[in-house]
Amino acid sequence: MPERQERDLDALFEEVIRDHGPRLQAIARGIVGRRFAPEDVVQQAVSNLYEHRHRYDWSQPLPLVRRAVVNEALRLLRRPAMGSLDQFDMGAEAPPDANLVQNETVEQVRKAIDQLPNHFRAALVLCEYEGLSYPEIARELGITIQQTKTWIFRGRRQLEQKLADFVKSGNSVEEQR
Amino acid sequence: MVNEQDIELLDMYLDGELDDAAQAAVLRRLASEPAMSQAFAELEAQRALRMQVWKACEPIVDNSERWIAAIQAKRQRQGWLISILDYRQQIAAAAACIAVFIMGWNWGANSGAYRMIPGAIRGTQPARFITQQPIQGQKPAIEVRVTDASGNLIDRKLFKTLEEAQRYTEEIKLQLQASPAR
Repeated sequence: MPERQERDLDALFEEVIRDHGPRLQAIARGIVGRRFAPEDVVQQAVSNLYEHRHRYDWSQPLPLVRRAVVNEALRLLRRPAMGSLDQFDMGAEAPPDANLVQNETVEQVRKAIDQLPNHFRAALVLCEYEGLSYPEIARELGITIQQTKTWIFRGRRQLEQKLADFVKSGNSVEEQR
Repeated sequence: MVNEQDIELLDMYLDGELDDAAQAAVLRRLASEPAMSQAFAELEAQRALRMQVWKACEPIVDNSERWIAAIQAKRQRQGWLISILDYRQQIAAAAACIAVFIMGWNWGANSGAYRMIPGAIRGTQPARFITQQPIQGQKPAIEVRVTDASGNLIDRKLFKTLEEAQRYTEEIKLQLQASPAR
């Protein structure tokens, strides 16, 4: 690759990361939950992508980087379980962004989301947080549009069920008091 | 009564996945069906809770510069590595040439074949076999070939007569006996 093109690509790469870094980290956090540090997920994804940057078409850089982050997050989750950060009592020392989750109901929703199958969670993050259309999500995850709809729909229904169980168990505790 | 298909329809409406006609149909039903309207309100509330979770995923500290620094460091390392590799390749090539030269020199010097038959082609093994072969219709007519155990040619001479060839063969045999192969 000519040196000038190489420099342009490097500049583009840095621009995408600068412009969308926090968003990429939020996507990573949404998918890996507290099992892995999201900043490490993004760093690894970005590093891998940079290493093979010449293989890709950079006409749409954000989807490319986002896909790398999603794939890296899902790749990590496919590895044998090493214990989630929750298990190490990260409650008090949790990353600062976790401190925003104060409301108990929201915390229950977060826990319920964490229990979803990884691919359902990835589809939901891309749909609700990123606001991507079904065809865009299908492209990101390398699946069909029908599969995308199914994953999102089932993910939401499973969440409903988990939260209904939470409400029921909460009520029963209240009744026992 | 709202069924699963209705819920899916409302989900798609909230996701913005319906075309204009389908959207209008959903709005009509929301206006006329209280159960549908209630299900819609529940879905919206659930979505709002999930949005709080997604928003809570956003970092307070922006790590972008850290990632960029890592990439820049990687770029520098790659550049440095490439120049080192070029330099190493040159050194490796030079070292390989020297090693081959030294090995060849020692090998040849230690080769029984080389010492036994002055001027002979350096063989990989000491001389073992001597063959005489008549050459039909040509002068000189006899070829004497000295080869090692692997069949590599160590020496080759042509003679006009069988007697000359025989004499040379005897000489070689004497040399081999005087300096046996190691």
